[in-house]
This record gives sequence, C-alpha cells and structure tokens, in this order.
Amino acid sequence: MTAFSRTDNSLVANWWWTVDRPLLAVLGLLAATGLVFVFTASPPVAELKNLNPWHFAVRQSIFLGLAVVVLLTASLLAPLGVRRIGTFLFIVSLGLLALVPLIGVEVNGAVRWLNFGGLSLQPSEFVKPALIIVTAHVLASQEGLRALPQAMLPVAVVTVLLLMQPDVGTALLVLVVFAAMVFMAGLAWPWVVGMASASVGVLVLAYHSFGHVQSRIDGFLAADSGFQVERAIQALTAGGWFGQGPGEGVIKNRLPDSHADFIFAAGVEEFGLLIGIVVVLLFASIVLRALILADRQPDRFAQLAAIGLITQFGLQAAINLGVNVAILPAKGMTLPFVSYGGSSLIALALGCGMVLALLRRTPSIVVIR
Amino acid sequence: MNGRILVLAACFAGVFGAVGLRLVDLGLPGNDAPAQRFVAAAPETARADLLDREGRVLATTVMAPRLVADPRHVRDVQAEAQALAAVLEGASEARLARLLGSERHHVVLAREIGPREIEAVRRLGLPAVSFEYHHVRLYPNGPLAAHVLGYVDVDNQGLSGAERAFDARLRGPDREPVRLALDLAVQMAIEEELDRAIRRHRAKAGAAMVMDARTGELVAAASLPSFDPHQPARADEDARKDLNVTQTFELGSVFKVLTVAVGLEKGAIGLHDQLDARGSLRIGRQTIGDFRPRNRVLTVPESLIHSSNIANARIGLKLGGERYREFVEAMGLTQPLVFEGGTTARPQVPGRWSDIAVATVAFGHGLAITPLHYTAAVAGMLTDGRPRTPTLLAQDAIQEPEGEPVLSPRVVEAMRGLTWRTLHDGRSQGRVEGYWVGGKTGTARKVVNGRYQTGVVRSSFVAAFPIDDPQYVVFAMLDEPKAAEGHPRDRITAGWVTAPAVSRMVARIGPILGVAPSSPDAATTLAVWSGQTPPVRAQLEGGADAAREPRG
Repeated sequence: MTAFSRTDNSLVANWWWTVDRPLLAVLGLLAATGLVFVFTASPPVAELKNLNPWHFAVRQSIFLGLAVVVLLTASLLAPLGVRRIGTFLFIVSLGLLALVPLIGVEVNGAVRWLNFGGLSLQPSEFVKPALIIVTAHVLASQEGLRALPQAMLPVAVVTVLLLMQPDVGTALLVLVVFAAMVFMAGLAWPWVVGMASASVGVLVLAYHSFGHVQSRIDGFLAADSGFQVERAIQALTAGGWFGQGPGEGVIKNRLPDSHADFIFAAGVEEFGLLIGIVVVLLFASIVLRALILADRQPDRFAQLAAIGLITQFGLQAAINLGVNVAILPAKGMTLPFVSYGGSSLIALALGCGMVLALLRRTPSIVVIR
Repeated sequence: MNGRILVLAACFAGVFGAVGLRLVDLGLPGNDAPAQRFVAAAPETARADLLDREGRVLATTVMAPRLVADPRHVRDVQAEAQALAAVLEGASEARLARLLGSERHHVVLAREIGPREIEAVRRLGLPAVSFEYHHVRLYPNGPLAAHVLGYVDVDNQGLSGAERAFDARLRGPDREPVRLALDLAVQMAIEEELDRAIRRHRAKAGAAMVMDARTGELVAAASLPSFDPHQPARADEDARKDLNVTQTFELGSVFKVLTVAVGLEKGAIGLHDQLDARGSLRIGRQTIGDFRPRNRVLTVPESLIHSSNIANARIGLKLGGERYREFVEAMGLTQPLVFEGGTTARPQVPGRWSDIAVATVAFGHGLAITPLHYTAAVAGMLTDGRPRTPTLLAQDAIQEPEGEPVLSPRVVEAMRGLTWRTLHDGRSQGRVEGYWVGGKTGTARKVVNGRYQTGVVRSSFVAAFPIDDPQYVVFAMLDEPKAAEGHPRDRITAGWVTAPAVSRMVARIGPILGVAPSSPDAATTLAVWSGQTPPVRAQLEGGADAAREPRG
C-alpha cells in the first residue's frame, strides 16, 4: 500500500496520505467483525422466515461490498463535495421520507419502508447523515449561533416526518445529534442546561403520547426487563468469557431479532465476553479518534459536520449496546456495521466516509490549489 | 483541546465504559443466575447409580433436556401447537394446545426429546418454548434384570425393585452408589438361556434365578416376559410381575428333596429304607399314583431318582402332619419372605395338616410358595442346614449362622449325595460337562378352575453346583411349556424342558463365577454320602452310565 509517492498528487495518492488510516483500519475491523456476527447469528432467523439459511449473510456480504465502495468514495470528497452531496441527499431523502406515509410498507406495526421493485429502502437511515451535513452548513454559515433559527427548520421537518411513521427512536436520535451540534457550535452554558431540560420534556411527552414508548419505559422501570432483553442477558452469560464457539450458540435461536437489534448478544454468546469488550472498544476508539481529529480541524463546517456524524454513529452504538446489556430500556436501534440491514449499512458507510473525508489531515490542499 | 469536544468525548467514554464494565460484571461468577435458571435442574431428582457386584453400571442418572413452555409468551396457541406437533415425535396437537393455552407459567411439553427434535423445535423459533435440563434415569442394559432393578416415576422416585428398596440411600445426601449382588454377565447368560427355553417350548412365561448358597445373594434373577424399565407404563401388567417373588406356585416334584431331607433328619427314614411304590396309595377317598410307575419297592435314593409320588407320600405319612409342619415353618416356607427387595407373596399353607395334606405336600402339592422361598430353602438344605435370607446387596462375608440348624450336617451331606445321584442316575438332561451338579426336576400339573389339567404343566428344575461343596443354587421354571419342535407331545416334563436349560446356564455361569471344575474324586465322596457302598473307581471313570446303580 506504500506504492504511493508523497509527491504523487493524484486523487487516490493524495487521499492515502491525508486520510486517517487508524480510523479507517478500525472501521474495517468493525465491519469484518459485523460480517462474522451476521454469518453466525442470522441462519436461525432466516430459517424461521422460511428463507435460505444464508439469506441474510449473503445479502449482508453484498451490502458490505457496496458499503466499502460508498465509504471509500465518500472519503475521497473534499469538504465542499461533502456539503454538496449532503444537501442533494437531504432533498432526495426528505422527499422519500414524505412519501413513506403514502406508499410505505408496513413492517412490524410501523411504516418505515419504501419498496422499489424488490429493493426496499428506509429513507430515515439516509436522512440522518444528510440532515447533519445541512445543519452543519447552516450553523457554520454565520458566526456563533446566529444561524440557529434557520438551522431549526430542517430538523423540525425531519422530526415531524419521523414521528408520523411513527419512529420515535430515530426522531429522538436526530434531536440529540442536533443538540450536540448546537452545543459544539457554541451554545451558551445556561442554554445547554435549558436544552437538556427540554429533551427530558420531550421524553416525558413521548412517554405520554405513544403507547409503545410508555410500556417499554414502564417495563424497564419495573425491572421486568422484557422478554428479549432477558434472553439477551441469558445469551451474554451463557457464552462466558470465551464463548460457546461459532455456531454453537443456542439462545440466539430464541432471540427473534438476533440478526438485527440483538446481534451483539447473539455474537457474544458464541465468541465470548472478551470479544464483546473488544467490540465495545472498537466503537469507543472510532468515536474518540474522530473527536480528537475533529478538535484539530480548523474548518468550522467540517468540524461541526464530522462531530454531528460521529455523534450519530456513537449514539446509535451506545444505545444498542446499552439495550443489549440491559442498562437501557429496550429501544429498536441497530448496531452500526454489525446489525443486518442494507439501508442502515449503506447510510452509515456514507456517514463514516464523510467523516473520513472531513477529517483528512490537509484539507487545505484543495484551498491552496 | 476544545473544552466542548472534551465534554462530548467524556460522555461517550462514560457510556462505552459502562457497557464494558457491565460485560465484565456479567462474566464474573455469581452473575450466572439467569444462565443457571436456563439449565435448571431440580437437585432432588438426582439419584445415585445402581452397580452390579463387579461395579458395572446397572442404572445411572444423566442430564437430559426436556421441552417446556411459558404459556404467557405464546402468541398463537393453535398455530404453535400445530407447529410443535409436526416436529415432535408422537405428540398430540390437542394436548399441546391445551398446555400452551393454560394459565400456568411453566408447562412440560415433552419429557424426552432427542437431538433432531431439539433442532427442529429451535428452528421454529417460538419465544415461549425452551429446554430445561433435568435428571433422567437410564438403564444401560435395557430390559436386562428389569424386575430386580425396578423403575422410577417421572420425579425419579423409586417405584419398584431395587430402585424402591434402596430409594432413601440412592436419593440420600451422600448419594452413594448401591452395589447389588447381581452379576451382569451371569444375569445375561441366565436371561438368554431362559429366553431360549421359552421360545423352544413356546412357554407362556418363565423365571430363573441364581443364588449364592452361603450368602443368600441373588447373583441373577430373571422373569420373562420382561419390560423396558425406561417405560414401565407401556408394558402390560403381567410383564411387570416378577414371577420369582410375586406369585406362589405348587412347585411339584422339586419339593421332594425337602421331604427326604426332613424324613432323614427326624429319623422317619434311613438312607437304605425300602418304600413300597407298588400300585397306588389310597388315603381316604383320594388316590395317589406315580407319573411313571415302577410298581416295585424303592430305596430312598430311588424315590428321588424316579420321583415317586407314592414313596414320598409314604415318607410324609411316616413323619406325620405335625413334624412336617414344624419343618416347613422352620425353613421359612409358611411366611412371606422379608428382604431388602420387599416382601414376597404369602405362601398358601394347608389349613389342617391331615394325612392327605401331608402326603400331598410331601410330593410338592398343596403348599404353594414363591420360587424365591424354594431356592432359599434348597440353598440352606445343601449348606449349613439353616434357611437362607435372600439379599439383593453384594455381601462381603457369609451370613452368620443364627440359632440351631434345621438340618444336621449328616443330612446336608446326604442331600448333596442324593441330589447328585438323582441328576446323574436319572433320565433328565441336567448334567453339565466338567461339574458335579446336584438337581431335581419338577413337573406340576396346573390347576385351572379348581381342577388339575392334563398336558398343561409348570415345569421346574433346581440345581446346585459344585454339589460336593455347593456354592450356587440355580432354579428355573417354565409356565405351560410345549414339546420342542419335532418331539413327542408328552415331552413337556422338567427333564426335557427345564433341566437342559439349567444345564446350559450352569455351563455358562460356572466359569464366569470362577467355579473350578469338579474333580472325579468328589464323585466317590458323593456316592458314599448318598448311601452307596464305595463304588469301584474304574466304574466312575467309565462315566455316569457305569456309575449307575443296577436297577432291580
């Protein structure tokens, strides 16, 4: 891989010398781990749905190949390119999101999917990174938080559309990421406290407005962690430190979402708690590495966008892991790069590719030229 | 570093750190409670092994999965019952639906489930069902010795046989394995030969046992037809019955050895006395005749060799009812036998020991006892003259003699000689190459609807070996044998039926039990004990035929 000369100014060579290779390597490691987890955890679910046992595993492999291309391509972009693509994606995904209530497909009681001749797509996955780019762009366009009123419009529209599905989890995620970005943009500390209180207020509102949110939180508070979580804990403990061995897990068979939301528990049953801790460390190092790099980033748009994207990535991982180990109430959230799901994988690859692009060491090269 | 990024980084580090710590916490001991609950095994169903005398496993307990469900998690009772019924062997959909639809929190859908079924059930992915490991009693030798071992109920509580007899020990806090007197190899030989005889003679049932003559240990005990102790409920009631202990029989001519023994003991007869067996014997309105009449005066040994009813009835009459009753009581033949394995059936004893009663008992009718009663009595008769207490447990020492012997050593020696001569001079096929064996046949006509039947018999044979110093007593009995294929129809007597079977048993088990082949010299001693004048040695070496006393 050192075939590139430092004086080589081609696009790829330039990328190779400026991209953060540790971050790239850890993302690669995470994606590989995720693929192994899907391979061991998904056959029972596939058989349950009367599909070929390797249905999910094969599809995930194809998605992952696609995701790698998307990630690498996105990481080649300059901040300007990221902004343009992000804005374009925002318009498209917002349009699709608006279509969901009209022509969407119902899965498990919620309408979140669009079907295009056999290909199903979850617009909410793509609207998340797009919204972050747009928000970062708007916030960075003016000093301090002068652009805050303008920035609140897109996030408000997205939140309303998500609540219509209803997808409270994603809506909350979007709001928290937005809050983090506003915080990073320089929100005065009294306002930080105010925003935090407001988010608690939203949570309370969600609790009273949506039956399934209420029952989940009630259940968690009543220490009746719920059926899936109980099984997840069984899976985690059954494996012990070193796991039951690949394919030897048995509790995964009775974990209905063992290929998606509960893939972490299913994987740990087979590979052990030590591997589970390694996976947590991978996520933590990706997030912390990206934050450190963002700190060094002089460009305000790039910094805000990168922090927004990595916060979304990190939050999703933290919530999913928290639910899997029963320190958070059950909430449908996929584990980035590990859970099965094409839309999620491609959208996250796009987001991470953009993070890599935004955090490249010398983005100013483009400016100099 | 920008303070705000630091705050964000700290938040993430905190959350991921919490998840990591939680994983470490789950891995620490003491946190395996949910996992343990998953493989919950009620400890009270644990049960120690039953071993044979050599330490081989006769019954053991293994952990095996069963299929359980929590009906609270059932989403669609009918659909799930149907799906389960399709993959479970022999499951009824209606029963599954009833269980899945019940109000309980824990129902057992299948007590036994194989690996294929487990895999199939797992693939159904039903959230309500799970597998629970529990203790299952396993009998590695299948139906072998099923009656001795017994069986357990679904909660592993002993219900019959050794399982019930030693239930407290097997389930006790120490759970020490129980070593039985049974020898697996001997048991195998006995059951095979008994089964062979039953099939050869198309008998309804059969029983056999091997008792250590000095310790009373049951080295083997078989009752056929047998049953699978894993599924006792599937066997019919007759198969579950142990013919050795649960039923009493009029054993017929095998009983005559006891009559001669008590006659000699009480001085009613001497070895050289003459007994008139001509014609028939009339007592009141009853007539006693012989199966194969000699129509001459017989010596005491001849009364056994030719199995004369008349001669034995005369011995009974000489003794009188009172003395005969005392003897059978002293030998323990009038009360149920109590041993660890439980209590045998109660013998049926004549109400009044009249002349006809004692004459009838003397040739083996009118007194009904279990095969175990009889075998224990013969073991005593041929060793120290005291009745044996049978035992299921392996003994380290011979039984301490208790009280006065019923039979004196002189009579014991005479009985060894007489049973040897009965087998070797008689017509039966009970001789065994290499061993001097003592034996007696018995063919009792069965009573059906209060009448003795012709051609419907119960034939038995008792043998002891080596008869010059008996170590083992073998008893076998066949219920309603027919003549073997290609033989005349009347060859249903013990000499044709059970004697050959016992002969094969002895030939097989002698080496297993480590019994040395008998020396030809022992025959001289046995001949003297039976009242013969020392025969010429050359005659003995010429074989059994040459040793036969000339018949007059």
